[in-house]
Amino acid sequence: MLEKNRFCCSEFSCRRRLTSDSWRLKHPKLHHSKHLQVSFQKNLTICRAPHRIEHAQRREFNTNDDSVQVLDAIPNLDDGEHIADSESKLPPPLPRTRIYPCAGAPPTDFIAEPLECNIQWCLETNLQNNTYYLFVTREEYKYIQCGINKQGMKTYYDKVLKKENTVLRFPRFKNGHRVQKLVASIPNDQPLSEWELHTLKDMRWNDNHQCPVKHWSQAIIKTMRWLIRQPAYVEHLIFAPQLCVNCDRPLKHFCIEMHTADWW
Amino acid sequence: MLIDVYSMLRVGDTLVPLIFMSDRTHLSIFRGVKGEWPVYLTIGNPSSNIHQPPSIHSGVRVALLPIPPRTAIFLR
Repeated sequence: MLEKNRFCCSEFSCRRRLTSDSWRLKHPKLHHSKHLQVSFQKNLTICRAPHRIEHAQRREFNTNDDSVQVLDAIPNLDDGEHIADSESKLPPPLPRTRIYPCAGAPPTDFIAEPLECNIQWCLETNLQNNTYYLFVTREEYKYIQCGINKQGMKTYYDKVLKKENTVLRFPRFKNGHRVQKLVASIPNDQPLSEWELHTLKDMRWNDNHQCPVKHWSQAIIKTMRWLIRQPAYVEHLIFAPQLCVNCDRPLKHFCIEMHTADWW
Repeated sequence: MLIDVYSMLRVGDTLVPLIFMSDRTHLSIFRGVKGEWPVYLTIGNPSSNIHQPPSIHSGVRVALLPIPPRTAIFLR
């Protein structure tokens, strides 16, 4: 008779009775740090979320005529390197939105710099200056890039951890399972920022209650980063508008279409 | 603000639409009806089948808004 343990996650209220041997993360919940810690202790693999996506093109309430299949989950950054080189070969996609004209309209006020064609320069610039950038370090960027290309954790280990001079140096592994365990054992930083009490000094409830309004909140940008970096989301990021450069001279920015008809 | 953010975007960057949700949550009935308005955040990049069901827990609480006290007219 197997001993049954109850694993309770206080963050997401996962109160499912699961046996110690058959403990799996079958439910498509996001992988919390406690989930990763328990899965590492029990030597278990984390299952991905099941496929439940229907093509937005077949839905009745999708009023867009464009195909969603041309949009990648996250724009393939390897292809972005050849944007400048392939101007004469493959023209960038043109905006074809009818009901959301502002989504695909080229913003003429923003002229692209010639250096923006270099994807490495964009990465360095974003890491230094852009506070809204998704990745904090170069390792995170390459880790996600390997995940997008579906090359697996072993490829990530070979490319990032072994070939380059990074801080993380590990001995050689024969399979990717140990690498996955090792990466899972890396101490997880605080994914969500701590709650902070804010006070609206210039706002009062009413005439009878003159005390200032206080509310609790946490950083939105950190939360957004934590959400989009969830491994359960990798296969489901189907709406990813990407910033591109058109063929005009001077180069100008424009965003490919954002499908908003399937948000609700 | 939007112009400043847009000027920082580079080629190949992906926009992440943020969706905020809120609904009144009843906390307690002792010592007066206590409730708050939690604000949940999710991203619009996944399909609605993924980020909308409550069982997936894709909505993260980012703020707790208090309910204003009752006015003096009601107390009279």
